[in-house]
Amino acid sequence: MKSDEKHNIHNQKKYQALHWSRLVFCLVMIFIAFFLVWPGYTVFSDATPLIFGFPTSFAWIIFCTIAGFIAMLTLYISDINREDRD
Amino acid sequence: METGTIILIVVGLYLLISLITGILPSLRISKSVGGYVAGDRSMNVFILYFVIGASIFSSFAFLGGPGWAYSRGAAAFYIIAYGVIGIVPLYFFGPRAWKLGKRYGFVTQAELLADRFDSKFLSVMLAILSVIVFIPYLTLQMVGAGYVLNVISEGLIPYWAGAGMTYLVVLVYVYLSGVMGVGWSNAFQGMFMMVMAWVLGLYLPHALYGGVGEMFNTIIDAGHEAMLQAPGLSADGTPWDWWGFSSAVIVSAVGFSVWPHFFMRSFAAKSTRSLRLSVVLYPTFLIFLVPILLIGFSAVVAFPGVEQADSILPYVLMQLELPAVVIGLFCAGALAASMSSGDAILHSAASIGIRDGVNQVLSKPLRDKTERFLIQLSVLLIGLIAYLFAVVIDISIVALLLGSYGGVAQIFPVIFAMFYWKRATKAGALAGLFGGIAVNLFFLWFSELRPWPMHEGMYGLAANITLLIGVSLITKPDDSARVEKFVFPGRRLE
Repeated sequence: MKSDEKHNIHNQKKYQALHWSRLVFCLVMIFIAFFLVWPGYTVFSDATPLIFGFPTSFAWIIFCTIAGFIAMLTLYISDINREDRD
Repeated sequence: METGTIILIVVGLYLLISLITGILPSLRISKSVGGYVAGDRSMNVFILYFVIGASIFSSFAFLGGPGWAYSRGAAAFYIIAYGVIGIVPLYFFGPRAWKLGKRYGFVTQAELLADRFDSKFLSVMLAILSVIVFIPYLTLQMVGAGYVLNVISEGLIPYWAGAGMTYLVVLVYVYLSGVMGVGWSNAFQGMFMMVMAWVLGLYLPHALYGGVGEMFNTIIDAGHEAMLQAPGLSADGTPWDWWGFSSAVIVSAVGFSVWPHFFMRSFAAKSTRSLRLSVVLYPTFLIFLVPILLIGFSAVVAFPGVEQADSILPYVLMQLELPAVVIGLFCAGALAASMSSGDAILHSAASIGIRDGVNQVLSKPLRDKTERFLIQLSVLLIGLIAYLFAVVIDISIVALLLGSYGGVAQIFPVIFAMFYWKRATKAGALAGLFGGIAVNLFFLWFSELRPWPMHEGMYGLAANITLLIGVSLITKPDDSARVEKFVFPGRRLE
């Protein structure tokens, strides 16, 4: 009985962790998406100043691509770690 | 040796390597439908990464990307913007589809939907729609290949021969090896294309202006600052509005992960882990669009007034006095872009047409061997039809393809509901999907009736989601055992 309870608590924690890491990831992606369209993108839509030689509007898109990549990589690593632990 | 001969030799060598890398996997895969369509679920991260990346980067990216940057400036950034968010759903949908595919033998998107919503009609309709969209898509890839070879060889290779020669190679390896042929050749073509794009994208700004920063400064000084300001210019050269840019990003992002030929690669993965990692690495492929756009920007001041913007890449190549071998290599790079999308589309159109279409309307299901043979036969038939369209090209084909983006996005809500909403019903799914497509088509044909200047796909999605939720809630819930196996694919149902 006790081991069943432990198992249930373990499962509950597992699903909570799943819930939170994925929820945070989805929020980050929504945030990035917001800055890739109107009105978020208007903040970085100018041609100047040039950033690393690229117009601000172009540099921003590159930055968002890298940010999206880092967010996905973080989620992947957290998913893998959890699966390995379980 | 003459320039034309050298170009022909380089292109010939490229085609030969593509053919060999495409044919070799046929020796290893099983002779079943699962082997041909899903590669016996054996694709590792390396192959899957290139399949996912390369099947999206088509002739449109290699020729259209620089064309957009050249004529519409910052508007071209939308191609990168939608990719960043559009790939995310596949991280969640892919492993679920994979698990269900492994347990129940699914190898296509329509099979999943037809089983969840208990509707053969849905499967057949999706098969018909997919083939209707895929043929013009394939035609455009052929047109791109024929066009590049014709322009760069200065007419030495006629347009019909260039398209025919390239796609004969594709036809042979797709016919023999199925999806694994697509996978291995895409890995070769993807690497080749990436190297070519980066070399050219960095070389041109340096050769013409002295650097990337100098290039953009020159564009600004020449009075073209408005084109670098998001959302760039519209097709007629006037500033594009945010409605158009934002809705194009949203509709393309929504539709991105559910393109049937793209989604069905989930079934070919070796494991859920390799599938997820390939999806995660996708933005590294997306960054490859940066040099592609730089090619277009490099021509803005140096070569103004080119009427046909899509021809800017071959045009610039012809203006610079590059060695014949280098021109041959770039020519092969453009072919790689065309072939890596064309082969995936050809393979998917044939697989979906037979498995989700023909097989569903027959009273007795096809035997595995017969089904595989029919799919292979369809590869030849669809290839031939697309080629016929390509040599007697008509402008309406381009319009048909552009119109299809909003249509494909309509599949997203039903896929989402299939995995995450237990209360979605067959009636709701059918009403949502076909209602969405109908509204999308209506605003595509009668664009002046749109209340706001948004992409027609947005109106389709609004109708789709409303109908899906509304009709599902007023109809009887679907069989719970069937629903549970889709909502909790990790749980074993006895």
